[in-house]
Amino acid sequence: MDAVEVVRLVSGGAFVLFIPGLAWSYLFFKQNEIDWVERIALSFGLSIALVPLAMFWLNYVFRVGVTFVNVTIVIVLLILIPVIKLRYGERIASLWLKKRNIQD
Amino acid sequence: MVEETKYSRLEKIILFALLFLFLILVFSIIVRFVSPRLFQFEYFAIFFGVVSAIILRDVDDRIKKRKNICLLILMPIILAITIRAIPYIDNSVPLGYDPGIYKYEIERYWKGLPEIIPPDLENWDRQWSPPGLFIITSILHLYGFNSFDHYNFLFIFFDVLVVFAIYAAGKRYFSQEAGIIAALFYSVSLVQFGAFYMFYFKNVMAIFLALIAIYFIKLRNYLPLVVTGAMIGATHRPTFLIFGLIYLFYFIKDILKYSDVHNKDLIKNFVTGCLILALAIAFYIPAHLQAFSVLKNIMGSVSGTVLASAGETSGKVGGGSFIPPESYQYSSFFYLILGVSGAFISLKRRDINPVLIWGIVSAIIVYSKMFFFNRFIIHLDVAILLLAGAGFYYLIKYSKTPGLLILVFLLAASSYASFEVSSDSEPWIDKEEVHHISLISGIEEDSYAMTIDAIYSPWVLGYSGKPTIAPGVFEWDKWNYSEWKRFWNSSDSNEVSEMLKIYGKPIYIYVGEKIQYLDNGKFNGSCFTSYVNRDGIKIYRFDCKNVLYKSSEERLSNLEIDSNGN
Repeated sequence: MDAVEVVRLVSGGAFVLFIPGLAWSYLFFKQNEIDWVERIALSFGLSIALVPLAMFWLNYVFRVGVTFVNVTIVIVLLILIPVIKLRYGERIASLWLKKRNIQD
Repeated sequence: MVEETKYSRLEKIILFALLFLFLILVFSIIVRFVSPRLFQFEYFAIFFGVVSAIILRDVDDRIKKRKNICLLILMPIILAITIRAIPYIDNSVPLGYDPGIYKYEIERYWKGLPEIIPPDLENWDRQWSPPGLFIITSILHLYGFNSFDHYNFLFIFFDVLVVFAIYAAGKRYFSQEAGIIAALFYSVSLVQFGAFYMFYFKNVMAIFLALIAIYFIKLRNYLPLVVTGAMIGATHRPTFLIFGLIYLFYFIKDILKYSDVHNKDLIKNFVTGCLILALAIAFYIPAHLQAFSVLKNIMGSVSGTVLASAGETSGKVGGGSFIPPESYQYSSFFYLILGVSGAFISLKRRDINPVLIWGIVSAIIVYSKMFFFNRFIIHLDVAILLLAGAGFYYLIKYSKTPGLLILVFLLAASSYASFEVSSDSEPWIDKEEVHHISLISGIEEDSYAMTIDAIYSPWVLGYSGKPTIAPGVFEWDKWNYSEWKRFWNSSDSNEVSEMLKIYGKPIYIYVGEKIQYLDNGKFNGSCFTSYVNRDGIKIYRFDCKNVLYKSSEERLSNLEIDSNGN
């Protein structure tokens, strides 16, 4: 294996098996709630569960093919969901509440 | 008060006298002064467990927050990587019996892309390959994992990853120290190395997920519990069965705990369990619906896996291929004693946690030899490792210096044994054989590969890439046992040709170097051509129609030249 291949495998592996779970782990556990070893374990565990589950249901229900582009989009979305929730969750919730109050 | 002190001193003497005796025994075994098979560690473990549960009942187990202790996790990681890497020094052939089947299945799923589960899976495929792992390998294929060597690395990686999960589960259920001790013993466990050596990829991945799932059970974190639980079901059905039983008993315990059935936690637990089951079943619907009814498949999945793994065709439920229950104590005695002690202490404290349930359920399956019992030893060992972490933790809390010394001694002894086993581990077949089997791949599209001994079945299937006729496995085999016997014993090429004609296609028959008992005279007839005959490895081509396409003829003659080394 040459260096380029190693870099490709490590980055591809991390993108599929680590980063989505890492993002979700921050949604479930705050910064200092768990130690870094637990964070790593949960990141891999959640990624291994979430990515195939998401792809399976998208393929099964909406016939979304398992292609490089589709999988990349799904993984990016899986990463963005907890990031948006953490960053803008409160703002979105307050906006929604405000809107509901106006309607009432 | 004086009486009490005297009493506790006596307790301490009894506890450490027992442990001292045990250490002498371990030392004698390690220096090969005595054989471990002379002793019954299981009985001693139960006796010690009861004694330690009484003595350590009041140990203060309040957890102190220590930040730097998790750096100690580097030790088991380094140990796990080293022990698992040793067999791959100067060797590129994957260990174990199963890699060939994994190679075949992984490539099958790639070829089925963009469908997530190939629609044309054979029946044995459906039984053998729950889609979970292969969906991941297909996704990774899109990111450059395009050789089986990459997946071999991935398997080593997953096996090491369990260290993290063991630590996390141990920390949540007992303490951070218990988690690290359990992780240390996992990294040098002979049983877990056995699972690694046998290439139980699905099993290892499912155990990792099960540990993460029980972590979420403890924290009552339901959403991640649903996804990890469902993924266990999609990856390895026997592990899902164990996980389901753990969850069920834990749920029953909760029912007994909360008298109100409308309790919020109970309802959440119930809904979570149903969701896990529904999501896991869904993985089996698309590929299986044609062949089985869903219910039959789910109910029969465990026994199906058992039969497939045991290679049995009689319908009798087998134990699976792994060490037998009688031998478990000899592979785990370094931590078995403290593992049982941890279990008894948990029982004494009425701490009925999922780890304890995991241990009890696996022990019942293993020792009553219910089904697939040999393979459930891997699960039993994981639970024992976690409980051993707790056992050592209580012991160290009770008496720090002797407790730590015992831990270091047993860890060193276990590491020594693991390094020895790891350095003696070799792949089932050598590089030359893998190379020769690979030569069959892509020769003639419309042909079979054949192995005459089950030992080569996964390898010929995986590395030839062809439908493989093998005794008693896969669905391309059209002979029963007596026909195979006739084939093995025959020296008449006409008789053998007649038998092979029923396949109606050219067949590449692989006779590996491990097959010394066969009369090769049966391959001397006009329907057979010898293409490889080198260093005890033989490949014959059978074709009674004499149909040989020009392009493949050229490839075959090249193959012959190549195999003769000219």
